[in-house]
Amino acid sequence: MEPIIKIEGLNKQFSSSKGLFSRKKTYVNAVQDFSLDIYEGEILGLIGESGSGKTTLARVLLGLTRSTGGSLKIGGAQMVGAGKAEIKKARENFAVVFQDPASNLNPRQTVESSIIRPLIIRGMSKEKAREKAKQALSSVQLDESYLESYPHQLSGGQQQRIAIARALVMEPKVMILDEPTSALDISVQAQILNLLLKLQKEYNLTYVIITHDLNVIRYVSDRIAVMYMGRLVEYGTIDDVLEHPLHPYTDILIHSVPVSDPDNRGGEKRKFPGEPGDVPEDPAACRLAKRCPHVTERCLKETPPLKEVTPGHFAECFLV
Amino acid sequence: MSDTILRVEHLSVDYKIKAGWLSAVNDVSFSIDRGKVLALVGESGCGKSTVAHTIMRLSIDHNERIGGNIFFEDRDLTKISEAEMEKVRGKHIGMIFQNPLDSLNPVYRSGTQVAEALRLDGMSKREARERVIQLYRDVQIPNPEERIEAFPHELSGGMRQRVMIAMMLARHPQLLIADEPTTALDVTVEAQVLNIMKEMCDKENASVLLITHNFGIVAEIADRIGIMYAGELVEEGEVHEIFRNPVHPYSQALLAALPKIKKSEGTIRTIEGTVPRILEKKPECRFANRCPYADETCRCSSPEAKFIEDGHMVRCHKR
Ligand SMILES: Nc1ncnc2c1ncn2[C@@H]1O[C@H](COP(=O)(O)OP(=O)(O)OP(=O)(O)O)[C@@H](O)[C@H]1O
Ligand SMILES: Nc1ncnc2c1ncn2[C@@H]1O[C@H](COP(=O)(O)OP(=O)(O)OP(=O)(O)O)[C@@H](O)[C@H]1O
Ligand code: SF4
Ligand SMILES: [Mg+2]
Ligand SMILES: [Mg+2]
Repeated sequence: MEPIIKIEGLNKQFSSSKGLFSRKKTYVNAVQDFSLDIYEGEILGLIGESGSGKTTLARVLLGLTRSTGGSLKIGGAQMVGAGKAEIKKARENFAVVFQDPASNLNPRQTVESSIIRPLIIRGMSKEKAREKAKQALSSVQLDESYLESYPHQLSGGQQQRIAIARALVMEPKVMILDEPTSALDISVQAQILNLLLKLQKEYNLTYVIITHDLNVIRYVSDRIAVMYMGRLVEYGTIDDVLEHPLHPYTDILIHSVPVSDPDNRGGEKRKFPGEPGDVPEDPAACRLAKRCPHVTERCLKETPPLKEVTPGHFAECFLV
Repeated sequence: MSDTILRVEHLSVDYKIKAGWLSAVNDVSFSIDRGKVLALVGESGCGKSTVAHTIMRLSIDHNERIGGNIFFEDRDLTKISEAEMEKVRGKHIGMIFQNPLDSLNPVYRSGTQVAEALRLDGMSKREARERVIQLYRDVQIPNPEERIEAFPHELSGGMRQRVMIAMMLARHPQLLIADEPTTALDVTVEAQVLNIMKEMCDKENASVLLITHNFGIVAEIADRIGIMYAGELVEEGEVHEIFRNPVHPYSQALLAALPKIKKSEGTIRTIEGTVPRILEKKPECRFANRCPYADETCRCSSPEAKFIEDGHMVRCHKR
């Protein structure tokens, strides 16, 4: 089967000036040598350290920022070096929910106009668009009285649900959801996740979901990809990754989730020494080498290969 | 010196919207002791951020009407002048906003904004820079010497959240109001941030009002929990007590909803129905239309707050 999104050796490097009068530049390798195939009808969960490049990868997939190396194919068409029109066309059926709820919405537009405008641009009548907007709101557990609200009159979780409703009315084939339920309590979160799962099943949609919430990832995903310092360090099915983690970073991450039990504070957790951003000077070294509990001489000198350990379960570590 | 740092009494907040006055917070009372953490939880839209903003006296478009009293130490924050309030904000009460973009200015470098907070307290420019680098290190922002130069849009979502936390920590407030402070953080960085808060409480005797929907965090650092529903505080008590023995029907449903399954194993349970948007205050229990125990009494009279045990408050006719 041809993947709907094919990512090969993708890189994204940012450079920023240090200060107003300084010519010195600093570089951040936000995404590094990243390869992954995403198939139609699958839900891919993307997890990883804060700052590991998840949002950047999403922005590259959406064509909002250009990669600095590697290849990205959408529906078979090469995006690297493609023209604006082509880039836009490839994402016709894409929709996105951004990480900061407020940044999804125009502060000067009512909920109604931010939902119906894109529909009207597509040629839908105003009445029909309004009807769709009402349905979409009720599907995210909000009544139609919210149509006349402005974003600042909404709670954080309400903004987030409007952003989801707004993405859904476009009837996308591919949805990129960056922390889509981070502002929701567990009950409303479950309602939204159930809605997303139902739509996905009905229309065979493809989702890429980014989240720090491992319960959410466990519940919705088919496969999980784990990022660390811009690199894809592990991927496989949910059972592979959550029950049999191979990469030391994945293992630490899974075993650092706080348990919901006040009698068991600070419970048994994996130790994660060092600090985020602590990487070896040598660009060839494994990115985790300075913080890894299992580090060897070799890890400090070479990049470990992404190895298929069991069918479909990959990890980038010398020890696997 | 009294042991209570904040005492909120019969707080109510109504917002003027097109359709009338929306009752966002109704008759909410609670207090926080020095050195303690109170977690406020509840359904999206139930009024948690409104409580926080009202304590800080921050209003976006002055469309609200406020009732009740808010005592911080011995002063009533609803009564003091704006000039006095200005001195309380940041210095005595620090706030981490739910939306980082509310407190970070997009056109200034992130470190400059944190340094500004320190300069308000009379620190020299050089000292402030050193201190900001240390603060960035404390909240685990990688390569702090470089990152202080980054503009907010050049940081990841979780880094922006950490900058806000650093900005608040910079001034050592006695009370910290943290509105969903770790939603963009992975669990390892989150653990570090929770440690910092815990330390503030233990070493500086500071207090925290923590708004979150993450029960893992609540269990980890809260001393007490307040559970809100549709603008009202429906249950409040000591954290172990509430986890072991939630009494209000909404609290019970909320705590039972904790999911840990795969989609192949079933569907997560949700609390049927939605929160009502209350435009007209009526004598009724606001949870009645979703409550499995509701009867006539619940539909036509408001339950009063009562104490079923020392320090365990619940607002329900049937308990
Ligand atoms: N426009 C930009 N200019 C410079 N650096 C950037 C820019 N956008 C992102 N970065 C950097 O790229 C790295 C990856 O950021 P990204 O936002 O992709 O992380 P993330 O995995 O989404 O993190 P989080 O979980 O905190 O949201 C970070 O070091 C960030 O500071
Ligand atoms: N400025 C405003 N004008 C009108 N209504 C408002 C305003 N701010 C908030 N509201 C409404 O008040 C209610 C409470 O909002 P609040 O932001 O306090 O909820 P919350 O508990 O923080 O929710 P969340 O968990 O989703 O952030 C919501 O129904 C919201 O729509
Ligand atoms: S007062 Fe009645 S309706 Fe309200 S929570 Fe208690 S039993 Fe349910
Ligand atoms: Mg992000
Ligand atoms: Mg809120």
